[in-house]
Amino acid sequence: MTFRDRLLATLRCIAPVLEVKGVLVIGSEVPNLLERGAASTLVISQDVDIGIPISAHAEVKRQLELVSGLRPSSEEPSVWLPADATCIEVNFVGFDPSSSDPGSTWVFEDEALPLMVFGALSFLREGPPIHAEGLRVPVPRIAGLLLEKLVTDRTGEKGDRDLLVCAGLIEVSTPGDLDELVETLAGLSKEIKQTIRANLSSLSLLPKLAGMPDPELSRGPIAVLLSRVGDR
Amino acid sequence: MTPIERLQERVRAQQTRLLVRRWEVRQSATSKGTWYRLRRALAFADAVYAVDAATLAVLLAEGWKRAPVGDELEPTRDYVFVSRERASRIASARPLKIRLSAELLAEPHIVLVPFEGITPT
Repeated sequence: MTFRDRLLATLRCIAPVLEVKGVLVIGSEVPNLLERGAASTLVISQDVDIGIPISAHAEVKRQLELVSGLRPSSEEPSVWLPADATCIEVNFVGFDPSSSDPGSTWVFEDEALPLMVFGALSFLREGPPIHAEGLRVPVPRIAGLLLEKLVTDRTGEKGDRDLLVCAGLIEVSTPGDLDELVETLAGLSKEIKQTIRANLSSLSLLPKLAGMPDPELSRGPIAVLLSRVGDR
Repeated sequence: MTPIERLQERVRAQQTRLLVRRWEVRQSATSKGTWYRLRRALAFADAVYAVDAATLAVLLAEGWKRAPVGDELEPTRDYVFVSRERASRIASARPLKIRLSAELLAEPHIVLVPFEGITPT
């Protein structure tokens, strides 16, 4: 069974949740899904993140009752564990599209489905869905996903791998996606811009890791982005 | 610890990391930002070469400018952006991998070729 099979089987299991308006597949698996035919050739992580708009929390809880093949972890109910090896873990996180503080992090308290809510996820906007093997997979627009990944604190090897996900996103982005990123960035704080410049610069110099997007392919677009973002 | 308490613990850890990052950003204009500025200069480069002192002197005499970040290191380094055409005429140029590596840092005189259409800032 390939990783693609497991990823798609997992998304099929949680399809009732993916039907809720505003719910998005986010995080490191998106570059896998954006490959032609959702080929999923990258080895990024063994879980898939699902972004839940806080306003849809109650509806998501109702839809979770229709999910089979996965069950909530007793220690961490926002993580759903697969019943067998045909699926991977699902990690539910919250976001508030109306938030204006990308640095904020808080807990949405709920006994059955508590969520970490990350301010940086407020950059996400629904993009064109991916269709794979009869599944409709809602994913964010690339610009917002890139911004979210570039403003999040990155340290150590995990941080490098997260940054390499950005290389994968840059690889599949269109000039319009990058224009959207630069336009959004113009309205953000000096601190966020600086974080993004630093992360882009680091990404440009990372060596290739097996199974990960090749940062060499993104170096040219990164130089253009850095030039457009400026130094202030 | 309940699941919610565990999540709150993660939030506190995240907020601590954010405070550290904000401190780092505030320091970025000072010497703490040197590595960032060097990474950024390298990110603009499509190719990087080590050259000898005499070649470097010729390039400076021709008007090519040193990137200020070289003065922030001790001993100082010369990082000079030149056009691809000019770099191609440096017979002794030795290509380097574009990494913030010991190999690159050991070289006192470096020529960088920016990506096409980019003016490093």
